[in-house]
Amino acid sequence: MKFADFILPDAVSAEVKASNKQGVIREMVRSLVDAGGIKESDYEPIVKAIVKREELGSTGIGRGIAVPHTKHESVDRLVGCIAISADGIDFESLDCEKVQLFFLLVSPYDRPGEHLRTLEHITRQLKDDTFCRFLKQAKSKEDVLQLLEEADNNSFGK
Amino acid sequence: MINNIKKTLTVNHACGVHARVATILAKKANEFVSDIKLIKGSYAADCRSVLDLLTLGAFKGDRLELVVIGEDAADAAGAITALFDAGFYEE
Repeated sequence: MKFADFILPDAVSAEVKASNKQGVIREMVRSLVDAGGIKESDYEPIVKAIVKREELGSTGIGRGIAVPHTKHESVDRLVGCIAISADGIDFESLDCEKVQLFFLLVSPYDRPGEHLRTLEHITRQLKDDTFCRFLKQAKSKEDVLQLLEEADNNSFGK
Repeated sequence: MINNIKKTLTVNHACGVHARVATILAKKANEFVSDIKLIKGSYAADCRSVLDLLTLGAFKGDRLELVVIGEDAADAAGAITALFDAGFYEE
């Protein structure tokens, strides 16, 4: 698997404007709409579904990373976006650390395996300290896309 | 006294070790002082870390090796095993 398989390049942001949990979720789902990954009419239902999932337990998985997600009938393949907050946002993570790196995923109902494989891919890549640190320091969308491309070309952890 | 426990657990949960399941495991592991690892192939995950657990990519039917080292190893191994047996208390 590669980041290019599911991250929509036009839905990558190195400058999160929101300052709270729901705000960053809204901003990221909006970026998926703007990038053509989901329909405008699905914006609000998907935001609500992701917020509801967060109520079951935060997807802040530690080390300043969160993977908010939901399944939704409107997508026929898993689509994702990335947002980076230099200052970090309180996401109620298990380790109580603020989150700087957000990977938001929307996946079809009938493919739970694809969702698990995607989480596996993201977390294995982020275990590489250099990749994780560079992503958190990224200043522009172009920086992020360059880092993702390098990760897809196995440039990290070698 | 330091105890060392090693056993094999099978993932019975339909959706595998996804984020919510990993969170349940990590919270439970944090109740103990022992070092708790779950291993699949060449990946060893610290059971206290949700991020680590997700790197396993553990699907239904996968067999994971549980390795627990520490003073409360027996209790910790029992608690982690119970979660696997109960399907992590999810539907």
